[in-house]
Amino acid sequence: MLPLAKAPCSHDTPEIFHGLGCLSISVVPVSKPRPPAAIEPQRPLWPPGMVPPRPPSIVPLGDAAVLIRFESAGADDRSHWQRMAIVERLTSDPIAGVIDAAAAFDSVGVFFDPTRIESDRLISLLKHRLADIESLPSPPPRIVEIPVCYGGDHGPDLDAVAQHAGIAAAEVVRLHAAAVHRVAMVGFAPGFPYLTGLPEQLAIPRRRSPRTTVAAGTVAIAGLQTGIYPRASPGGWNCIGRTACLLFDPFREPPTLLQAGDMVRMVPIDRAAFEAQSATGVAMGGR
Amino acid sequence: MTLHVVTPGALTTVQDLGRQGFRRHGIGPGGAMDSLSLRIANLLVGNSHDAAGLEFTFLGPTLRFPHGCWVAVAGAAFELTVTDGDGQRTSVPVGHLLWIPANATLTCGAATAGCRGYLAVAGGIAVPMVLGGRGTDIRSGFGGWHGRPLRAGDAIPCGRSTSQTLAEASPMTPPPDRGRVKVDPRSASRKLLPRPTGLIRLIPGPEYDWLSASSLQRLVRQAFTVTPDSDRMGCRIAGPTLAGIEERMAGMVSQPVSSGTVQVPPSGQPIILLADHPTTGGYPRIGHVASIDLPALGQARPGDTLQFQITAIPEAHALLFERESALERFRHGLLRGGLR
Repeated sequence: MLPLAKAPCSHDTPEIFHGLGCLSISVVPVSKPRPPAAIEPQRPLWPPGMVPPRPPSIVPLGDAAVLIRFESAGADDRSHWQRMAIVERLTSDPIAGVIDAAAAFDSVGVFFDPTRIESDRLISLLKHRLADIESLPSPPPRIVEIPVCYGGDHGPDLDAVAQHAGIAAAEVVRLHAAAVHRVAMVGFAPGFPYLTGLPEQLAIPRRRSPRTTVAAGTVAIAGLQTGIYPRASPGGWNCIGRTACLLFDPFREPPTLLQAGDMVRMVPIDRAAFEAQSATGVAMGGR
Repeated sequence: MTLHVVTPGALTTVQDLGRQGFRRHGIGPGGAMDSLSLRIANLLVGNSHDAAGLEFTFLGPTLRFPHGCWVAVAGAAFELTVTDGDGQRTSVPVGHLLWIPANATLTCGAATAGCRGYLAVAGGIAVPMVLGGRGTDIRSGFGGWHGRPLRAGDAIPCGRSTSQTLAEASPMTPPPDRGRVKVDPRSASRKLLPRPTGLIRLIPGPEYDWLSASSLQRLVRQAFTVTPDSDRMGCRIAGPTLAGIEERMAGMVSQPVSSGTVQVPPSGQPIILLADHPTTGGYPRIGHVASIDLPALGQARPGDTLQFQITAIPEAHALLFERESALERFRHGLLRGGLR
């Protein structure tokens, strides 16, 4: 219904999407994006046509799914894009009998109906598709801005994070907002983004005892990752802020605000701005 | 047409065969825990096998039907009673096509074996399709009936939401005496239903060989017991501790999982992911339950014992094809039989 979140792959330049756009029809993509140096379009790691050192391996995941493992390249940008690309190809040009596909940190799960396709045939088709993707250049990622109200009730662990890092709370906010985060995958719960790119200075273990309730929209960190809780749920990550963005809406297309592969920037906002956006969001969401 | 919820039972939700194509958004399949029983109930009332029905757990609902209709209940052994408008009570069997007269109530009672029952209504439960499915995602609160379990007083729309395969051969017309309960002799053969054997065929998973040699032996030589904290998300089982994974877990990142994935957390007590599983998991996946045995797990009660048996994928597929052929024969049998 809302026209904002579109697949980013075909654009020449990165588009900036305000996360808040999903709460308000009036917000449109910024027409002249200025991508920071850190997120310039990625070049392939090897020339087109050249085979990388170790191709992805395909192993069974039970009798109705297979797992494509990208072992060699780890979490680098190129392998990241390949994971997105194979899922995108399976969605836009489906293989008969394949019913779902999803990317995780270093692998892709491909789910199939064994009564409609043999697993050997599926594996061979997947290998061909992976080979096709090798030669494609990585397109620039989409950039999404997420307004975040840091600290206070909305980020009860901000001070603990600051203490752990040995810096001031304001510095934690500055570092977190200056970082470019990437959606490595959407998983755990509908619309929950696993964001990599947390500055190492902010690395922190999960809380010793998980909170029984973390509010919807809470921005939380653990290890070297940031997550955003789409709905109120128990959670063990350190809560540093909150956004009024609706991360998951089953009646929106696509249903999730962030897609794997997106680049994310946090934009610090004050409490009043959060309240205002929150109120608009409730009015807009209508649910 | 509607059906009215008089009492909702312990946990009654609208379910179909699940959503596919949304895992990349973090949305898992959901759907009926014992998909085989839902499919059988649907076929009995002439629905397409994937129509939405009601799934109820341990204690079934009491439902009132303002209009007469054909229904079928399949799955666990529930004690079914129909009370007609005059207050006359009739016991009716699970696994048969039933005519419920107008203004009668169907009481589903308690399950004496297995734990989940499936009610199919001719024409299906007519809730809107959300993200490719009519099933209820309780934790995220969408799909089904307002994204939640049924409550007393709910009036659930039904009928005309699915193609009716039986209707092609002979329309699902009311029986001659539409004012009385009718138990149609046609039923699902016992052979078709998931057997509560406790034998669970397991296909080794990507982290299978992380287990120590002695744990690998314990996995198949000793039995596991279903624990009470099992739910639609997963079946938790207790048994011999499976060791060997701790040292390798440190570098593990979240990975795709599926229905039937057997995860082993550091406690060493496995969790078998089921219909409402998250799309990814961070624990080692030592194996996957063969698709053929997933419906039986959907009927597992706390205290039931499970015995794993390592199975190769071709064998698991052969069993699945055999069952699908049997279902297809069952469907054809119903078509030939017409309505009596």
